Amino acid sequence: MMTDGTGKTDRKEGRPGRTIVVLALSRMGDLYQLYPTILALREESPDDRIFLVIYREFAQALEPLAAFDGIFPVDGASLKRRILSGEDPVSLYRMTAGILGAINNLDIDLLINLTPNRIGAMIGYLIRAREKRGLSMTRDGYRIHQSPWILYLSMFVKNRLYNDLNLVDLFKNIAGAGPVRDPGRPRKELSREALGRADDLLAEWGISPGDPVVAMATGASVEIKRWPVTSFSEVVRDLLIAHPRMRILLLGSGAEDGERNRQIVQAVSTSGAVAGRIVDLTGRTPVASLAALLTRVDLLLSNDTGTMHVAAVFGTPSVCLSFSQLFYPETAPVLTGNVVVSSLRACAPCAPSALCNNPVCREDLSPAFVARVIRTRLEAARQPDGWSWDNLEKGLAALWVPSGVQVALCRMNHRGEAEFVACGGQKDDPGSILRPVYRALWREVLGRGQKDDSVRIVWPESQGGWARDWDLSLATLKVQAEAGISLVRQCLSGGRVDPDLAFRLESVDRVIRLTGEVFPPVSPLSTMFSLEKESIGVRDPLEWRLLVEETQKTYERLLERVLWLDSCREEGGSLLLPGGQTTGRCPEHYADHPVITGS
Amino acid sequence: MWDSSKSRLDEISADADILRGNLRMLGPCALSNRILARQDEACGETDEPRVVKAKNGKPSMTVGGISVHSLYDPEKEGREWVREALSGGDLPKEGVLVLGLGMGYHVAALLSATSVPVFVFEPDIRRIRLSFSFISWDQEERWRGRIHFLSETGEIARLDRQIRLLVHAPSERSQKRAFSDAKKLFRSIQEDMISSLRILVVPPVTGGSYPVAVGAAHGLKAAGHRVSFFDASPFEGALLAIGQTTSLDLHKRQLQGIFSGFMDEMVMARVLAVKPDLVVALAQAPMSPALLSRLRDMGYPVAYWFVEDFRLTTYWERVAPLVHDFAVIQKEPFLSLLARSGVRGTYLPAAADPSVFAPRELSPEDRKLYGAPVGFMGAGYHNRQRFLPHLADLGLKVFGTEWNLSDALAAAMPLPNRRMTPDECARIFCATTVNVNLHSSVYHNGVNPDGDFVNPRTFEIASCGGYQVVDRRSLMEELFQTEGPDAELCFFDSETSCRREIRRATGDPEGRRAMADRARKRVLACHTYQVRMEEWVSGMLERGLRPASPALTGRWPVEGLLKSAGEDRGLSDFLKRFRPMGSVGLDDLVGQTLPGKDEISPEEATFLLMKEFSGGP
Repeated sequence: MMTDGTGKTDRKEGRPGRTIVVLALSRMGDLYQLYPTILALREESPDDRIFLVIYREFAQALEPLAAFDGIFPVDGASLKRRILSGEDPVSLYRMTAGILGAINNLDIDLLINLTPNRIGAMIGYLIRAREKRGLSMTRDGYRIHQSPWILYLSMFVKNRLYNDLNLVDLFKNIAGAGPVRDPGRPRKELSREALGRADDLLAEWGISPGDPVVAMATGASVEIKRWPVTSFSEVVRDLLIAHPRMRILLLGSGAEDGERNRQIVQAVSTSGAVAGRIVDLTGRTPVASLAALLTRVDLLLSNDTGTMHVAAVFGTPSVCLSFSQLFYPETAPVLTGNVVVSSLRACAPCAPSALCNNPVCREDLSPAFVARVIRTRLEAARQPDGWSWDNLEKGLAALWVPSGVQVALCRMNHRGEAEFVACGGQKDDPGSILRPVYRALWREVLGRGQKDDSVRIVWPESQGGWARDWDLSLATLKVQAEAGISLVRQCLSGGRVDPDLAFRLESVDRVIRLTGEVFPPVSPLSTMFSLEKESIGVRDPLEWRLLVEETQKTYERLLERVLWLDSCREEGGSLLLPGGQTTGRCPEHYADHPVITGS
Repeated sequence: MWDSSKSRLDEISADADILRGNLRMLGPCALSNRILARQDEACGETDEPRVVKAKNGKPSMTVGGISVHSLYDPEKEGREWVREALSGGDLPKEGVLVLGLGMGYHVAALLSATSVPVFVFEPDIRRIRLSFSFISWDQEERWRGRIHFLSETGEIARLDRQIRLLVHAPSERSQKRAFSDAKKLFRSIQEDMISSLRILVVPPVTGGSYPVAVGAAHGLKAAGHRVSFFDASPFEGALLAIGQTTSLDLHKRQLQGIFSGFMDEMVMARVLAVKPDLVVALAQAPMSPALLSRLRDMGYPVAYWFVEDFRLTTYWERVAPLVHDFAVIQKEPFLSLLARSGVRGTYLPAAADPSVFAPRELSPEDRKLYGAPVGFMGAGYHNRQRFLPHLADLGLKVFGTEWNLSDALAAAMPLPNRRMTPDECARIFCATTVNVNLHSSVYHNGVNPDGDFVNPRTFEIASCGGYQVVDRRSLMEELFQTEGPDAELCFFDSETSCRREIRRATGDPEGRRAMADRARKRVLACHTYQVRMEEWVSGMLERGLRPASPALTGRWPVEGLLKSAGEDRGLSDFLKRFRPMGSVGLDDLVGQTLPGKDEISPEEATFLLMKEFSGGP
């Protein structure tokens, strides 16, 4: 499947359908979270040719997947090494331009750019496609978001506590793909050879079909994302004692994982009753084999790793340990019946770049409780649905959930999007209260008018300060949005952009930004406003009127969103919004927004 | 050539349709943005251009009362200009570069008379805007695609070296500086000369040479070099702490030695990071003789600007032989002393940085704080402590450090012994009616009768448009007009003559203003850091200085890269613009690609992408 830059595959030229390129220069976990999007695109248009542009180091990891037509591997590490070694710029240019040229030779109809950084923006600019969705660059070098949902992605990176949309669904939204009708397809497409190798590996350790097997991914990219060795050891011991036939597989690769798994085996093997039922498979499960192996296990217990996303794609249920930087609503593995056990620490989740030196959130997840969750999940169906999902939810809710811990259960809603339903433990913070509200708002304003059930904002009585600050912040945003609209109208009526008006508009924007910084629960609004303003794609100075009109829309959208949120007040009506009218929900839809297409 | 149906020439008024049509021809780009945004900031060299009606009814242009085109028949004049220009032989197929657009009659005639590409360089956006409002450059079929407008000097570097240069002399008269820069750059392309080096400027940790270093860095940058500044000022506290920690000389010397070694390594780390073609060090820069030797052995040339009095500070004897070029602010006998040590000294007087020292509107608060009938800004050297009390009754204010506050001057110091920033100094110079400038001396009780060099303050006050009375110096005459009705400065030799000149100037505001204007014009034309640095660096290049080797810097000769680019036209065109740099690395190749300017070409975007892969900016 790897094209090695030629763009030639076994699919024949001249067949009907579009050529789609998905740019995903990110980590392995992200690639697997992206895969449902590929499946959805394939289901929608089987004749389309779909190619992925990914980092070379992850190309092998996609071997078990078959819904796309080819891969363009980008050797970013090698390019970096050659640049830093001082190789001559023309040779390096030729190499880089060669990769891009090979991609452009595909004669692309649709580019879906899911690489949310400067590299992504530049490649998005350099790839020629008749339509582009995702991040790109204007011709004069500014970042531009060519899809409202890529704007959303940039927004939620800065406001993750208020995001309730999993990356799996966000990728689909950016790509314009619908729900996956046959999520079991990857499992069915696994080769017999791969499955046979997995069976052989299990047989090597005396594991027979029918033996209950729990796999554990004990590693993670950095130390604070790793649940302690002692915790894993206790869970293993607990499970093996409770289930006399159960076998545990420890997964991992590299020396660090090997040492950790060796310690777990050693800790557990001191107990004679469980010795021999724990298998250390470190280094024996490259991703190509891992997928097949996971289809043979009953459950995966995992830190925040790519392995949990591989399991989700191939239908293996997981219990996911969520602490440090992992924020389960956005990155937990999406599969009905997956369970997330997370810490409710006030500081959780860590900021993505934080390096906490006291990760007490790891300790909140007690091994005994995690073992109980695993046992409860094992009692339910592999793919719980309907009543069996309800039973699982009840079973989890009946567990005694320690304080400081939350259990959430994954299901697909009527739109085919993932939802993580809290079964026990609930954080009492603005994020928990506002996430469903924002989810409904963004779906309505970014999702071409998809309306949800009504949502209400119910502030806990004990936290009256939040309600007051929320109202005040919305009121401030309303006043500033109205001021912005008024100033822009003055520009339009005056026939030119007066420097004084421009200065006053900058002041308005500054207050909007500041309001979001002072009271983060409204920051999604102010951040989205700033990003939308930045993304106005009018470059020709002779088109200043269009530029001003597009600017006006950004203030109008902000105002509409403020009014929408204000209408979600528990009591109904507006308490604090001065001077204006609460007109009910009247969001501006992107359906009417000019479509921005690439060159 | 005129679109008479659209332009109403009789009224000499601009036509918005013609302007719009020309902008559409240009397309969205930096130039059209600047024209529309009326960004005239870069046009400070000349007066506002005006459109006037010529005798034959056509619009002509004047600048500062001087005509840029004929006031009788500008079209005929344009044709004659072309006839003369073409008398030098056939034009190369690569085209011509015309310096100066004015209204554009000569350019239009050139387009009509030839078939080659015509590149027009006009640094004054206002003139382009006027031309674009009257001449439809997109109107003639045979002009289309052949006319290109450049408004920034750097754009000339992209042109082919075979292009012929033509200068519109009337335009040049009012834009000498910009045209000189353009010609220099064009010549450097034609002659394969280096006009942009990568330079690391090393200032002292503290002291009077620090702002000189900042000015030199600005000047080098303005001259087109790629400048890095090693800011040693954060270490000032450490240096001072050594003196305050112990009174034992032995300990002090030991600590200073350790500090010096530490700073050597800091500078070396910066050198290895920047890999400069040239290190410019200012007097008192934290570079020991040991470091200078190491740099010399490694192949990094160091140019040292000794802005000190060689009689007072003698470390030049150890430093001068170790550096590539040693510039000084004094002439004889210093140059002879250097020659005796085998060093070729370069005379390079001080200068001003007009980006800091410029006339400015001051708030009432600033005027109150910094303003006075008579002002002095400087450190409290011995001669100044003795001299300035004689002026106390004239409304004197004194600013600066190291003053003895117990004497009579304390009352004249609104900010006693506070170090003033360059910006504050500029405010003082602008707010003061008569600035007294007395060169420092640790021996004399007032004016040093044998003083030679001219201090930076002389140029800075003048650059601000401030009026000054200054003590006479032997090297002053070759820098300023010192005598006669066009004198640019007013001099004193003693307390008595100083008081006399202050009184005279106080009663003659017109004369004061006229002299200050003359001094400012002189400084802007001859005594900016840019002028000094251009002179210094070009002298070094003439004497054989070349960019450091690729083996040392990781930067590649542009000509070699152009050869490698071969038939790739887009890549070659992109690389050509870097020829004046001599050699480039990835940083250089992406350094000129900025958002908000022109359309980013695939070549520019690809190099930007490579930069991102390497770890970003």
